Amino acid sequence: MAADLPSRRELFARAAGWALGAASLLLGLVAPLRSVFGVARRRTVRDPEGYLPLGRLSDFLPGVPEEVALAGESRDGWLREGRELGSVFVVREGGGATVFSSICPHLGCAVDWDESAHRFACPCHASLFAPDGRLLSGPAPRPLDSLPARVGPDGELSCRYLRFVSGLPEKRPA
Amino acid sequence: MRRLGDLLDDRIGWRRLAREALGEPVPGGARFAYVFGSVVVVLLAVQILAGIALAFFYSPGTLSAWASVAYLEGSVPAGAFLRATHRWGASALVVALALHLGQTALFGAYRRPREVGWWSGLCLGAIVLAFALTGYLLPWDQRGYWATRVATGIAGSVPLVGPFLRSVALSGSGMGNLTLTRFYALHAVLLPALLLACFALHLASFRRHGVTPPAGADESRVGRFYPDQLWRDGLVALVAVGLVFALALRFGAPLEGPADPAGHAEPRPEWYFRPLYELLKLGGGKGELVLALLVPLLAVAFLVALPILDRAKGRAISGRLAPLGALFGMGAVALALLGRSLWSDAHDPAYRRAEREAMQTGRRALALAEHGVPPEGPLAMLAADPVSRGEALFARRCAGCHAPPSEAARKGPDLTGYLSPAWIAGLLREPDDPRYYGRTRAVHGMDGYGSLGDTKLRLLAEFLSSLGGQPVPSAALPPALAAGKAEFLAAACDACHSLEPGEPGAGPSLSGYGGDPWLDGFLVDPGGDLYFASDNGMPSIGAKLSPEDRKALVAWLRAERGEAPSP
Repeated sequence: MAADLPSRRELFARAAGWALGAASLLLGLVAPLRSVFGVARRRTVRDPEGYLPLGRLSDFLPGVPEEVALAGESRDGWLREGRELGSVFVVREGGGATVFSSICPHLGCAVDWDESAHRFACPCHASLFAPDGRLLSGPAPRPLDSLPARVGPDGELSCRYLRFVSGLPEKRPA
Repeated sequence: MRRLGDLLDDRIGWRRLAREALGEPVPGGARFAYVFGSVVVVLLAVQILAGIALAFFYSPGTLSAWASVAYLEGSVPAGAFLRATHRWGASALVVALALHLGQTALFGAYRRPREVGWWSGLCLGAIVLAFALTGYLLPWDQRGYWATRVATGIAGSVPLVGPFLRSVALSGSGMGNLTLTRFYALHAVLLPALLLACFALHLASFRRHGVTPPAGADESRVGRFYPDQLWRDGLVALVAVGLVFALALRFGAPLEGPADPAGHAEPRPEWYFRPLYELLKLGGGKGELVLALLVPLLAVAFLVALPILDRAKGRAISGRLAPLGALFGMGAVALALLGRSLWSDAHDPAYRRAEREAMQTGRRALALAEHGVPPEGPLAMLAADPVSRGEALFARRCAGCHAPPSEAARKGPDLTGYLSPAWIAGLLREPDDPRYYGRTRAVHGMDGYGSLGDTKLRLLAEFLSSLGGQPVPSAALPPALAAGKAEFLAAACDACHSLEPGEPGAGPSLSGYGGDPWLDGFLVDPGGDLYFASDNGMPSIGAKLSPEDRKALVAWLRAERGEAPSP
């Protein structure tokens, strides 16, 4: 039955046909895959770098967390716009203040200050935090994220707006 | 006509195709139990048609997505109905898929040689859920935005690959324009292509092996797909589509306010993801990964392995009790979790209030969008609207003391109907009532004037409520207000409360009481001489607000006047 076997030449042609076809398809995939997955490694949403004003420190009541919306010029893909970036909680204590991001470190919902129970509560999965950011109960893996803040010589409080990866026990910048 | 048919048959051979498609034998005879597959196909067709029409109007982008959907809702003929059809069609599709899966399992149609049909069916189900997940974000409203933040957060908490998965899903570091274009491309291009590929595989397997009659059916009796099965399929499909249309017309599709990264929301997923959502809440702490990731993963693994796990000799249900029990038990647990989640939300006053407020903002935003959304986007539109801005400012700055979630936590007066004659009358009757100044240090020096009687109190309250308007010389006061002023003087209110501009007294000045300048001054310096002076217990809210924000807050407070306080 040797006559039925393909010749060496034909075998080579078949293998070359499959290989060249597959190679051309793979080449066609390079640009789509590179762009679709490559952009995932970029900072596509960029918040402003510097300190953003929060108001005069003396205008905050000591010990009562107060929510402030932060605005600044940010980049979102192709768009540069001045807009509200997110909100923070200012807790004045002594001569300074702690500033917490309102983003829940669990899965990224916005936490609320519950004045009656005197604690922060996340409306999504019921994580609770103390006024100093400590986790009281719930699924969150870490305390509320504090942000770098400073008080200027004129008494103006300001902070940097940073985002952190949610769901991790440690605070890793996003 | 016949000649045209002949000509086409000669060129493309359509008669043979039609004979093969319609003449399919149905061993054991046609049954209503077989209709669900066709119902899924019809509902998918409705989804695809509605989706194509939606794509004619939709514009992905953080500034334009919500605006284009609002335009569809408010200005496109039948646009709201179109969107609602797509929304309810998705729900109906999930129900039809679940029934199809249940029927297939019950009749044993996943068994050899139909495994590929079963697996491709599971893929179809997963693709439909992926459609739902990606479609939820596209309107870029509060609901979709925050729910997607949570969903991608869950993906991000998967060990090792999580952060990578999350950044691929979001297209980079955060949610924005590129997330929307990505979700839109998935929803409208990639997923439909995958769906068609899976469907082809599913149909090929089905056509190769045909229907699976229940054990014990008389298989010598053979029906034909056309017309025996087709009319049954058509009837149920028509009922299903009719139901989708009825629900769409009756309930529409909700559109909340535009996505606001600095705002608050209590996001909930669509009902078919509620069991997973409930698992996540049950988890808590370390158990979360197990419950939220491992349990669903095991359930999927079980479904995939079902054709291998089932080693019974025949299709009789009695021989397959263990796998079927596990499958339908899983379904029952999912339904129980769904019920538990809906029940706990329905009995959570804080959630219901948040939901009501979200819908209110949505309606207001839609009304504003009727006049066109500015190029800065829908959030800028809402921010420029004094009512919405004032409402948001009140929620952020004032509600903690004046309208907290629980009545016991209120630290200042209830401002429902603030400055309306009814509110003022209530205040005069009993200033120390907890609804008024009973919880503050201020006004404890003031007596109640309930002894004046309802008629006099009403005259007095209407006079006081009018003071915020244009100043009117005494001689020109309408008789009712003049009578009110007479009561004011008769009760010696002016001993503590001056009506003269800039004149302090023992109590707050009532010159221009409740008018814009009065309220603005009060917000800036509630402890000033003209206001509560040393009795004041309220922080200076106005000092932290821009003049525009103060104006918005004052406008919102004054709008309260139109409503009577709730009893």
